[in-house]
Amino acid sequence: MVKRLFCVFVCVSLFWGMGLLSAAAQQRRVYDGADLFTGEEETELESTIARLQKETSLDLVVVTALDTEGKSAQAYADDFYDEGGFGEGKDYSGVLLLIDMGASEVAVSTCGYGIRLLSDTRIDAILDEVVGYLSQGDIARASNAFLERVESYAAQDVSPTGPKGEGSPTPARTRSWGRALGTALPISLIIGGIAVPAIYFGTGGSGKKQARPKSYRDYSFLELSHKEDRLIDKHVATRRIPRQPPAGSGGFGGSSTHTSSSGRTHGGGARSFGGSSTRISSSGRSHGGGSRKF
Amino acid sequence: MSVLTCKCPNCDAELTFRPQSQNFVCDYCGSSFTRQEIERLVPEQDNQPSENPQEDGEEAQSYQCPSCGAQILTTGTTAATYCYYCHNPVTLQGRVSGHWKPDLMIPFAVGEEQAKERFLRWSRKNPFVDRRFFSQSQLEKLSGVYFPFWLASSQSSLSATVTARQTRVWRVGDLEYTETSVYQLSREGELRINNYDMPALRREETSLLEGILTYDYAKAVPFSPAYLSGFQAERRDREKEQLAARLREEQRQNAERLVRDTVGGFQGVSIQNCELSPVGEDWKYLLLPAWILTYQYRGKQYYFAMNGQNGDMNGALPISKGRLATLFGAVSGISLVLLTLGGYFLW
Repeated sequence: MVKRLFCVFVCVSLFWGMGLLSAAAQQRRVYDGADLFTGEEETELESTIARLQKETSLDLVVVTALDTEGKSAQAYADDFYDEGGFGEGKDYSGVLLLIDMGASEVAVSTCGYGIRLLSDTRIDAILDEVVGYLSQGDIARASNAFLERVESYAAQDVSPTGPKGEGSPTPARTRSWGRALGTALPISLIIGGIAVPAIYFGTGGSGKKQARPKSYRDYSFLELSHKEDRLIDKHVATRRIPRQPPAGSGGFGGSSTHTSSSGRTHGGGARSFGGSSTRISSSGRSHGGGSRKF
Repeated sequence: MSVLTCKCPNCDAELTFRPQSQNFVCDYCGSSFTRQEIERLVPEQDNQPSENPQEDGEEAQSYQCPSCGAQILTTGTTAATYCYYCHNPVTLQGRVSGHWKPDLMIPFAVGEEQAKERFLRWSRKNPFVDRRFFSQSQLEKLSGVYFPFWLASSQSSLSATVTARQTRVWRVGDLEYTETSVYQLSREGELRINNYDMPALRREETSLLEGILTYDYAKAVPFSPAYLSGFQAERRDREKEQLAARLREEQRQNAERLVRDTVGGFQGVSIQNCELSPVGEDWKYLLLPAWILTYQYRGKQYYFAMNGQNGDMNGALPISKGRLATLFGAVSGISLVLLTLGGYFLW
């Protein structure tokens, strides 16, 4: 019986491995200069990137570094991308994530279609999430969040002129045995974990069966000869209900205010919408993106 | 110590009691007799001078089998057993007569075949039981035993005082009013306990019997040693004096519970005092039938008991972890294959 389970385990691992091997046949896109990822995490990122490359027609790179050779994180990210020769199509479309452990800074560099896809607002959102995970120390999760965000923005973007100028609005999802197996495995374990206790308890558990729990009323009886309920005291207590504070504008803290040019106080806030700011990198190519300390 | 066996009047072989037919059957010549017929043939030995209780104390004693002459060794409380040479049933008369004579008994109504079948049906339902458990050798060990019990009935006059509260809450504008009414309740009457059963044997199996004490005592019959043949029996080693404290406690507890039952619609009920004064008390010494199986599995001792009158069961089954794991693997494995196939096309 143990042998049988072992064989099942070996078959499962083989399936798993095959799925991963196919992923490794791609070009390298994860550069773990700061040695933050485990082998497994790297392989996983590579396979996610391989999949997204097909879906989004963008190149994706994840880089970690301890030392950025004196450059700012943003500049290093831009240069890494250009020098690495990344990018799809004549626009070199793609997105790169750099985690600079030395300066505790994270930077995103976009190019080509990537600039149009990831507006400043979207960059902010990505940086928010990535920095959140980085401050918890979860580098792998941060990188995966970055990739997931790019994927979801690409899916949202229903631009008729696709990245390569072709008119394909939604790229078809590729089928993958590895992915199907990966999702199926935890679910099947959960099903087993629910079914077995259900059967166990359904067929009487360990068998401790109490025939019919005896109640004291089965064999003891009280025949009353005298029953009297007498009121001996009655008193009333009064209390004032404390007034409820009025339901405020919800949320703790007040509102920040600022003084406008006319001297009046104003609240509120401002945010730019749409559009991406760009700069020129050292190689002369224009890049979008942004950076943030974590 | 004299040994009693029920002999067939036709061929002098041993007679055994058959629960299904409630008759006495001879295994050799096949004749069967009712209880009345047996009584006429085998006189009750009631008039024997009561044996000195000290005589058969806790130590094991040996007796001679009337059929084959072999020495039968028994523990201090065994009252009926088998000779394990000739396998004939044997009743040790001294342990069921005089001081030890049961007032009543419930004869077996569930026979051996029926007991085995019920047991198998119950334990087979569970797919995780180690399959070796159902082996024939295991079933052979199922024994029908008469266990000694004390049945106590009592009448006591009860007088109780209870304080209870009732609250009413209402609101007028900004003010909340809470009205509390306090009541003094008095209850008087008679508390009756009918046939409260207490095991009279200090042994591990008796705790298991607590789970099958659903005997219908109305069907109890006067004791007759003839019923014991074919089964084992034990005599008591607890006297009613030792159990009197338990009865008191039961009376006190049930008195309070029953008084509370008569108090309805109040909150905050507290019993100020509850007095019981005994009016009458009656103790009966009984032999009750049960099918018992004890088994060892992985070093642990398991007990199983079945009520010999109505077949109610109580016991623990040995669970094989191996089978649990196999089932888990099978269910997970199948769902894995199905989900992977489906998942390949779906996501």
